Amino acid sequence: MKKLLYILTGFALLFSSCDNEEDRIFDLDADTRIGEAVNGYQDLLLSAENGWITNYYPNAEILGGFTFLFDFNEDGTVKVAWDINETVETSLYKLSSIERPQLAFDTYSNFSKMTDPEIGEQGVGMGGDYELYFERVSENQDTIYLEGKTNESTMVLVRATQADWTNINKLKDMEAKLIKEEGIHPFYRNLVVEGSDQKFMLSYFEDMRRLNFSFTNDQGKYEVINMGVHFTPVGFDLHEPLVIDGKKVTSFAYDAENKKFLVSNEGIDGEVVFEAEAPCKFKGAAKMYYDMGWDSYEYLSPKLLEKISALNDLGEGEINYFYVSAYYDFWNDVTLYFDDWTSVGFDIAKFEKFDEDQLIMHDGGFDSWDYEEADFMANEGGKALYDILFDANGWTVVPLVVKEYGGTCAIVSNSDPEIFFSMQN
Amino acid sequence: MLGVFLFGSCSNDEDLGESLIDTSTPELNETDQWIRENFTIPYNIEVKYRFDDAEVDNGKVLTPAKLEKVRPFLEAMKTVWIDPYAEYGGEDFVKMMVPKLLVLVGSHNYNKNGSIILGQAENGRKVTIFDINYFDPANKTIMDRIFSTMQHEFGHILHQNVMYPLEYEKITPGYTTAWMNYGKSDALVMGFITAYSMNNPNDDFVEMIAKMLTKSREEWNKYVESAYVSSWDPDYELLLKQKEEGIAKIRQKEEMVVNYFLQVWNIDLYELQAHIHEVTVNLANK
Repeated sequence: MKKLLYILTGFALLFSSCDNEEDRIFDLDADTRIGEAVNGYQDLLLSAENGWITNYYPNAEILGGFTFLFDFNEDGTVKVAWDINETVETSLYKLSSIERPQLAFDTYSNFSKMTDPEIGEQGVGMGGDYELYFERVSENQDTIYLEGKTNESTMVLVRATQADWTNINKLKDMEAKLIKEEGIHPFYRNLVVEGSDQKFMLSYFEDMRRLNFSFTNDQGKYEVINMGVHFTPVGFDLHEPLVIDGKKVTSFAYDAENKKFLVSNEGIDGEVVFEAEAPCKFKGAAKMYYDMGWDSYEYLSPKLLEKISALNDLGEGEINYFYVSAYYDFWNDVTLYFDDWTSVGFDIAKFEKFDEDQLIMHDGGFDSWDYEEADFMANEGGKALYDILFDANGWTVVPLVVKEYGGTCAIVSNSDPEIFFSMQN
Repeated sequence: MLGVFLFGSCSNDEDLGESLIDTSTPELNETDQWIRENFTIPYNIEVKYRFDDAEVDNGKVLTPAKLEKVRPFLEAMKTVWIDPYAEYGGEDFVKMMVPKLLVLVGSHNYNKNGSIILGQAENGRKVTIFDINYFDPANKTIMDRIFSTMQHEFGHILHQNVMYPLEYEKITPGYTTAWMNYGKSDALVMGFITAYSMNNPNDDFVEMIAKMLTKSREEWNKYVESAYVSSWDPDYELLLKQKEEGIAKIRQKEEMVVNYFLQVWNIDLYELQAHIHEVTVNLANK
């Protein structure tokens, strides 16, 4: 029995052996492959003679897009141009592989604004990424797709042309056209597409680079499509298509001669035209915007400023800003501040048509510590302000940014739509 | 026979190829080279000025430092912090105590409640400094803020190595994590040099160091007595008395901090204070 055991053990040892033959799926080990991938991306980035261009949406849910140009150099520096800032900045970049190959902009440049806690909401920033994973490269090697490591923002780098480095400074001009076109009031700008009865009223919110398309839907209700945009040398593009009767509208080009934006998608005839009527009525807009306690002003239209400019002669200081306290049923007044902090204003006794998108304000009495009512009313600008505020035709509340809480609106005079002010809470 | 099988084995003389560990010297740019010569070689300090998410709190929104701010900041840091300590505490003291890793971050570091973290020290080894992009040697407010942070964090390293006397924390026992509800004058009246020093005894101790070493002796003396008490206050007399008590407590702490420096580290804090003030003024006027 013992012998048998020895023999069996001997056989076991005889046939046991090492197998050093591994079936490798890849020719090279993982580290070498990662190293090669990183080097490959490095070579690709350096291969673009004029660098790369991207329309980057740091937080596509709430913000529009910004255009950046990157010119990567072998010495680890990258030149960065941004459509908001004309200065081309140089910073460092690094390619590495932590989980997978990634590109990091690891010293400050224009691009760092996308992750700067001072820009946008304090401490939160714009929600962009400074480190991005390489996702894929187009077959012709002209497009690189990246995804942000922290906030998963998308970056699509496309080979840039020399012209892009000049054109990037023109994008701001296109934005200026969208903010306000010369000689034309900005409200009731309607997008009209040939063959469709559906009209959209455009309003642009500069701080967030978003467009509102307000319209009356099939059920006759007010609806808003809020969408991010980025600018091009000829106009602007929408982040996602706006579908009108099955047609996808994405691009607009500015027609300088006729001072208007035209839809530039092939096969679609459309334009943004200025009309006396808005294509929709936002029921409850006045209440929605007024009942939350407004306490700041955003902007006074040039025509409104011009009408009240004589007020600059009233005191020491010049007109500085409007301050609107609008706590409905509680406290309402409109106060005009001068830059020497003197002020003049009126209480508002009541509003009419408050549940619609209309406001008619009623004088609740002159209110100022600094000026006499008689002097104010004797001033041409003071009288004009009084007449404008308490105009019996009233005002229309035009939503600019629609949010569940807070938002921005413009208060547009019904007698003259070039007279308006906008407010944000 | 069995032995032959037993000792027979497979050959593992396989060529393992090149090592995967990259031991090559990284390519150094001008800033890297300067850091190597002025921080790494003499003091064994690694400076991470390129943003590295492994070194910061990923729950925060932060930005990288501006490259052009890095060297001026580090030069100032050497002038205002390392060199004076080397002169008054000795080279060995600096080599031993200085944090081995400095992480520079460009932006503010906001807390959810809106307050700002100026710097962080971890285990005496690593110090993270924020706000580098706002660095300006001619701006006293910014200089005070940044170097007060450095002195504060370095103070932690010192007491983590040799603790200050326990009697210190008995001077003002009213420490509270709700320190942010107090103003500067409230703190001074209660015997704390800053509101943040109310956080705990360690922060109290290092806030004393930080305030002393970012002011001249004269400015320091003025600051200790600078609590505002309104003569309109119905309790004016009482408040005045409390203010005097507060000053006395801070002076008591001052004495302990100065003794700690002298006895433990053989450094005359007043001399160090005067020297740092002088080089800071020179730097601003450069």
